Amino acid sequence: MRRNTLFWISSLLGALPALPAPAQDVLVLRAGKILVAPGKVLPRGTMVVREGKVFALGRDLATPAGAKELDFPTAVVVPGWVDSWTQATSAGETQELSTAWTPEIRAADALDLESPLWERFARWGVTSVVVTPDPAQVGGGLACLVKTGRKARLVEKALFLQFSLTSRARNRERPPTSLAGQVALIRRNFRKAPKEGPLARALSGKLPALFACRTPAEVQAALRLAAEFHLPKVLLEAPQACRPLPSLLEGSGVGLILTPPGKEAPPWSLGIPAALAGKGLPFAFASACPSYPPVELRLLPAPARRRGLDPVRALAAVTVTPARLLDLSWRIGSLRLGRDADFLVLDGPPAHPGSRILSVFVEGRPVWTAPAGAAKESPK
Amino acid sequence: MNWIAPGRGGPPGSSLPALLLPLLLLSPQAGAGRKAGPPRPRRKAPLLIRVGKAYLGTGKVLEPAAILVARGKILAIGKHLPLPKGAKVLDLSGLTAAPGLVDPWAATFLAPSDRRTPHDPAGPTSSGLVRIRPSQARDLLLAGVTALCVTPPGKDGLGPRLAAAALDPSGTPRPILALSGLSLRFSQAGPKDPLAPLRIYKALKKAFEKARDYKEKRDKAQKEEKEFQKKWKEYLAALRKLRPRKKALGKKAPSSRPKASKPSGPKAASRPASGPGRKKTATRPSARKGKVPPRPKRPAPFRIDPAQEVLAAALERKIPVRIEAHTSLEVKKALQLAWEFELRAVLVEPWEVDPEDLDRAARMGITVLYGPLDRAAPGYGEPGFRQDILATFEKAGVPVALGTRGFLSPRFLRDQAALARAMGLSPGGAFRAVTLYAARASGIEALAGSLEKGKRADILFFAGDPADPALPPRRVMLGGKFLPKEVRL
Repeated sequence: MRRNTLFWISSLLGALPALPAPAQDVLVLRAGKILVAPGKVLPRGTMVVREGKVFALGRDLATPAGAKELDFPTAVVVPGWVDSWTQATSAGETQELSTAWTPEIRAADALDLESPLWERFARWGVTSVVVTPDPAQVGGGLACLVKTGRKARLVEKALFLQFSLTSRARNRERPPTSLAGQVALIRRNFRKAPKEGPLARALSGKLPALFACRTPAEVQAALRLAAEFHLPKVLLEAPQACRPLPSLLEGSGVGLILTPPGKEAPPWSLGIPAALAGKGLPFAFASACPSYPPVELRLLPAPARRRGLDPVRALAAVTVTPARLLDLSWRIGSLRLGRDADFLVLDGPPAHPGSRILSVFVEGRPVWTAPAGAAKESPK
Repeated sequence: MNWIAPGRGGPPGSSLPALLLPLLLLSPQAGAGRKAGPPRPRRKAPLLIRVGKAYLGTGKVLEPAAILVARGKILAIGKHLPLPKGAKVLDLSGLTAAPGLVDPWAATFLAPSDRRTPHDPAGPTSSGLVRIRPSQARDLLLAGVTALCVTPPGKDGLGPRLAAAALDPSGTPRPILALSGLSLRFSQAGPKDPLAPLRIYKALKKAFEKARDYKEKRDKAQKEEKEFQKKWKEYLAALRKLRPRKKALGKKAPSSRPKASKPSGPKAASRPASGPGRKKTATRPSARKGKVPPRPKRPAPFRIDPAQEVLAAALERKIPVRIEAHTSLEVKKALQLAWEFELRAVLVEPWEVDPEDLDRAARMGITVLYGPLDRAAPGYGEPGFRQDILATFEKAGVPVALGTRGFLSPRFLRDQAALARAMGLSPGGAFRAVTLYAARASGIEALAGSLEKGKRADILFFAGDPADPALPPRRVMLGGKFLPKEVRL
C-alpha cells in the first residue's frame, strides 16, 4: 500500500512539467468544419490550441476547466494564408543603388512592424508574409517571415537568398546593364564564394536560392545557373503572364512563386496555374505587395479556377505549398498537430472569394474580427 | 475611329465610314466565311428556353423558369409559360440563368492614351469608343460581360459624357446608347485644397443654371416652331381652298406661291421666310379681300449647342449624372447639386459619408458606384478607410454598383462582386452591383441588367451558382443568339 502511494506521488511529480499550461493560454474552438489541410476536412471538429500551437484535433474533445471556448456551428476554419513574395513596408529601404551585389542585406533590417499594413494582411486572412529585399540588386539579400496582425512579429530572419535577373536590377549608373551581365556577375561571385555566409549556405543547400524573373529569357537563365552550380534548393519568382513557364519548369524540380499577371493580363495567363498543376509542378501564389494590395492574394485563385485549376490545388497554393517551398511546413500552412494555430474562420466555402472572413487568429490570438453587424454568425 | 461622338473633332470625311461601319458589321453579309448570295431570311420564330433556375437580377429567383426570346429581346419570363405558336423549345433544365454582366465604368475600348488622362478637350461632348481590340472583347463576352459603359476620364468640374455599348457575337462593341450619362467631378485635390469642392460646386451650379436657361429657350423655340408649323398648315389649307375657284376663272397660280409641301427638314428650317434671299411675294387679291389668312412668319432658327444638349438631357432626367465625390464634404455638395437640379445622380466612390447624407441619398434615389475595390480607392486600407462603406450604403437603402475603371479588365467583374460580398455586401446586392445597378449607373436600365420583359436577351447560363467567380458561364446568349458551343469558355 505504502509502495503504491509512493509510486503515485512520484508519478505525479514526474508528470508536473507536462501539465497543461495555465487555462488562459488554452483555446477550444468548435466549428462546422475544420480544414486541417487542403483536401483534409474534419466535420463538426474541435481544435484545442495551447501556447499558440495546435495541441489536439478531434470530434468531441472535452474543454479543460478555465479554457476559453469559441463555437462557430456553421463556419469553416481554414489554415492561415501565406503570402510568399512581398516587399511589404520595406520597399525602397532595401534598395542599394551603389552596388549590384548585396547578398548580406536582410529584409528584416528594414521592416516597419508598426505599419497598419500588417493589420490589412490579417483582415484578408493572410497570417504569414514573406518579405524579400527589393529585386533592384542582382545579389539581392535575405528574405524574412512576419506574422501579421496589429502587433506584427518577425519570426524568421533568413528564409532564402534572393537573386534578381529582372530588368529592375539593370542600372545605367552601374554594371551590369544586361541579362548576360547579371548572369556573369552571379557566376563570378558563386565561383569565389566565401566558405561561410548566406552565399555558401545557398550553394550547399542549407538555404534555398530564389531567382526573381519576369521574362522567359530570365527564367531560362535562372534554370541554367541552377544546373551549372548544382543548387540543391531553387525557387523561382515569376509573373503569371510568363507563357512558357509550364514547359520550361517541367522536370526541373524548381518551386515556383507566381505573382499577379498585371492589369493587362492576357487571357491565357489565367490558365498558367492549371497548366502547372497539370504537370504536377509545385507553385504558390503571392501578392507582390506593395505593387498590389494584400487582398490580391484572395483574388488570384478564382480566375485560375475558371481556367480549370482544382479548388484543392488553388487553396494549397496559398497554404501548404508555400510552406513546403519555404521549408516551413513544420510550422505554418496547415492545422496539423504542433503547427502554429494560424487560422481564419469563414462563413462559406474556403476557395470562394465571396466567403466572408469572420475572424482571423495568429498563434491562437484573435488579430481581426468582422464588425458585429457584418458577421452573420458570432461566436457563442 | 470615333463612332458615336458627333462633337469630337475628327478629320473631315471620317464620319461616313464611322456611320457605315456598324451598318456593315450588322449586315447579313458581314459574317465571316458566309457565301455571297441572297440574304437569309431573319428567323422570327420565338425561342422558349426552360431552365432549372433563373436569377432575374431584380432580387427575384424563379425555380424552374421559362424565358421566351424573340427578335433579340425577352418577350416573357415566368415559372411556366405557354408555348406560343411556331415557337421552338430549348431545354436547359440543368442550368441556371442570370442576366449578362454590365461594366458601368469601363475604359476597355478607349485608346491607351485616353484611359488615364482626360480627353482634349474634356467636356460634355467628348466621348467615344475609340480603339477596338476584338480578341479582348471576345474574352469579355466569354466571361459573361455583355454591356459596357465607356467612361473617359475627366478633369474637375464638367466631364465627358458616357456611351453604352453592347458586344455582338463576334466580340465587337456596338453602341446601344450614344449618350447614356454625364460625368462630373469634384476635387481630386481634396487634402491640398479644402475649399476646392465649394468652388467646383459653384462652377457646376453655374453651368447647370446656364443649361436650364438654354433648355427654356430651346423649349420656347420648339414650341414656337410647332405653332408656326400649325399655322403654316392652316395657311396652306386656306390657299388650297382658293385654288379651284381660280382654276374655274382660268387664271394661272402665281409662281411665287409656296407649294403645298411640308416645310420640314434642316434646309427648310434654314431657309429664310423673308428677306434678301427670297423674292417678296406680292399680296394677292384674295388676301386683300381678307379671305386668306396672313402668311405666318417663321420664328428665328434656334442654334443647337451639343454641350448644352447633354446638360439639358441631364436636367430632363433622361440620363444619369455621375458625380465623383470622395470626401464627406464633396458628397454633401454633390447631393446638394443633385437635389437643386433634380438630377438622376450616381455618386462615384464616396469613401466617407455623414449619416444625414446617407439618409438623404436613399430618399433621393441615388446610386453609388465603386471602381475595383482592391485597387482604386485612395487611401485604401489606411486607418481612416471604412471597409464597411459598401454595406453601410446598402443598409441605408442606397444601391451599390461596381465597375472596373480601366484598372482591371472587365472579365474580373464577378471577382469584384465576390470581393464586395466579402467586404460586407449581401449576396444579392453583390450580384446586382454588376447587373441591374450597374445598368442603372450606366443609363441603360431600360435595356439591360436584368431578366425582364422588353429587355435585351443577354443571358448567361451557369451549371451552378452564378455568384461563384470560379465558375465560368456554360453558355452565353447575346441579343437572343447563343455564342457557338465549341468556343472554350
